[in-house]
Amino acid sequence: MKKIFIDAFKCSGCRYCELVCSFFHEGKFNPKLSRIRIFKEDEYGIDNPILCSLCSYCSCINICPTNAFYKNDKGFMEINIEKCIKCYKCIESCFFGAVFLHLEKNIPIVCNLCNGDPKCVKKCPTGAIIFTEPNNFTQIKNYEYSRIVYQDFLNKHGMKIKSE
Amino acid sequence: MKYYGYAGKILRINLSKRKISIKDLEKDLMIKFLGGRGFNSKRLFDELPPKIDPLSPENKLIFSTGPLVGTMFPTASRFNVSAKSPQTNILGDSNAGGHFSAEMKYAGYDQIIIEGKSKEPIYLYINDDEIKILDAKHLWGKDVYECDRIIKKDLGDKSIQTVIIGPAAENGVKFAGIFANLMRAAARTGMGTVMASKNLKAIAIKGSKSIEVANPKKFEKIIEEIEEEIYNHPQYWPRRKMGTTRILLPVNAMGFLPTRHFTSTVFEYAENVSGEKLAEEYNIKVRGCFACILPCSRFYIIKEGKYAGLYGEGPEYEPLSSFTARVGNGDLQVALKAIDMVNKLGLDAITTAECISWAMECYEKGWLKKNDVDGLDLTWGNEEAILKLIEKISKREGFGDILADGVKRASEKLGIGKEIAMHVKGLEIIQADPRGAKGYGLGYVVASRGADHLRAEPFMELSDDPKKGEKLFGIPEATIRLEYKGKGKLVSYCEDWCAIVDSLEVCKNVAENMEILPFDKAAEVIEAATGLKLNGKDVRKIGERIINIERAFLIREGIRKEHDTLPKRFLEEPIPSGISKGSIFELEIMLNEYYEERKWNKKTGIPYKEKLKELDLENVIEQFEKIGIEIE
Repeated sequence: MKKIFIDAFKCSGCRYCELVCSFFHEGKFNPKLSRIRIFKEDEYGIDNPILCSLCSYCSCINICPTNAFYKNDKGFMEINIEKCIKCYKCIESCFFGAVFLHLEKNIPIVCNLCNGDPKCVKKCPTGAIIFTEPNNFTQIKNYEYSRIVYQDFLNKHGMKIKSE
Repeated sequence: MKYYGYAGKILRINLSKRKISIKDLEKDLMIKFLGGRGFNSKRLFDELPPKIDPLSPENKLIFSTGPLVGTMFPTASRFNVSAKSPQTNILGDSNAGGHFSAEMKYAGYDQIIIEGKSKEPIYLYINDDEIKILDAKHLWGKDVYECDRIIKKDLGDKSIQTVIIGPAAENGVKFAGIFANLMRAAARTGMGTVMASKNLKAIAIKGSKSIEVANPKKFEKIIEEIEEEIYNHPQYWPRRKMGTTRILLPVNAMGFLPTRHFTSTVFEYAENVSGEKLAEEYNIKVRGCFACILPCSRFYIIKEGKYAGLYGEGPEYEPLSSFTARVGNGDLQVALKAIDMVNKLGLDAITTAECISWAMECYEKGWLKKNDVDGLDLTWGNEEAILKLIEKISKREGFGDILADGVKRASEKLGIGKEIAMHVKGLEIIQADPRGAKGYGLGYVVASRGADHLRAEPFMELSDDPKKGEKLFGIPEATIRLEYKGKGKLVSYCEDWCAIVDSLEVCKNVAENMEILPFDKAAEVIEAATGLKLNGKDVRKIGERIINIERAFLIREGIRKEHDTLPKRFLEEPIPSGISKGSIFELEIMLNEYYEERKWNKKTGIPYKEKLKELDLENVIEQFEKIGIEIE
């Protein structure tokens, strides 16, 4: 099934995804209410978007003592907030730190792929957030990588790869 | 009252009394001055008595963000920091991007006013409503990068946004800047020097509040239109690939690239130090400011050679061209090293390069000898001299101590090279020869912070498209760079526009240069975001009001028509070679046209009463009359 994949080296760190996420889900602008977050270190140019990877073994689902976490019929992650007892075991257990805390309501929030039409993917200016099948993502990456591998070789023979 | 777009609060911190107060944003200020630069200029005019010492506790250092910052409006990420300038003794003001401005907004503040002076070195930690004044003895003397690292470690949070001053500011260099996200410099007019005079090393900020807009549906629609315009703009890809460095080669080709301290306008090594070269050989990824869909900052690494292992962000056109053509250096790696030093030490790149290149011209002319300059060989482009002088300036050591006051004071102190000290009102001229881009030149002459392109940025004149001038001003020559006609109209139009862009705190590259946000569109966005009902004319009037209150600040400090001028070289010597050869700057005629357009007195440069009244600036008239400034 389709998932969101991240190509971190393409991320410019503009946080436009955080903004569209909070606007879509909360009706206001606040990166700290977003389901996707970019972790940055300016000195090294690090910009790394983090969001739910929809693992098949979801530590959050498994650890939640009240079964507030579940995958809906489309396979997207949902939280039944009425069941949540705010133990934050979900936040603690996620391998990727992709369950965030809603700072106003003190409840966990997690990406639900905007119910199948992820807004961050549409709005990302650099194509760092990709919504696709795993196999397709591998292909995209590998074609790009192959160009890099071939670049020097072709240059030596006087050929230049046109950028897309 | 509920605020839309705005955060709604003004934070005032008095460092002498350690007193902190939070007040609601004044509605009148909001309606009349919009935000950012407008807020700052108005506040300084109202609260600073005339003729104070800029480095005394009486001066106020003010940070402002704008009504669109923190929303999804593309490129709304900037802040203005203003105070009376120690470099020019007039209005000091600088602007930078990055992520600080949005964080300040999320913490809940439209404006932060720093007053007084702390006894000991301190830094501020603002976490929403919690404001702490923390000891900064361990940070004093540290460069910008180190300081940022330590603060984030001390506070245990890497997501905090900071603005920091470097050692140059602490040492009293008159043109030290304030740095956000390490490399986003608000460096012009010595705002870092003012911050240091208050013993304030840094501000660390963290916010968790939300920004709501008045009409979310409409706002979303406008954003979609703007996104489309930006993505389809012909400048999109060149800017994304090279940022502002993309213009180095065209400026050289058009023959107005200041080379060897304006003695030439064509640089023979331009190809070697171009944006293209940087992009192809050094850049590894793009970086952007907050909410920017045209990420134009680039992360570079030097992989081999003497400076292998040097990495960082940028640089932009100004520092790149300053540390190459202006100082006569054809080695890109040396320029990158110089710019890295300038950032870490916390200096203004433009002014630093002017000081060095001025000294180099004096050296070439024989006015400065080796023993006057600590034994350095100030031949054009000498790597050792450039890098040593940057260090000496930042430490105020030897000859660097003289240059650390800026080129105007240095030339006065040494009694040499006054006519080639390239400044207006004490602020050093940027990297575009005014004889080759006359709208820009007129912009330097009249800009409210001294020689500066960002107050007017009449980018459209570089199009050399007469149709544009005809359409906008009824004068085809207005948008032809080597013509003098119509520049008064062009510059006042662009100045009003830039004042709005700076007050909304959006990016000038996108909003003004790429013409994404004209007055009508700005009115629409402002209404959707804040609920303020405005049309394009009202918006331009706000811009005009900001220009006039800034002029009033200058008039109060003694600036008159005679200060609206350029260094002699541009008025008397034609461009010696290249495609713009023979061009000279026709000051009087352009300035008169500008004054006429502005309704300022052509003899004195003081705005007429009628104009001030029209702009609801009656308090300026009152003030002038009270302190005895004659106004007609």
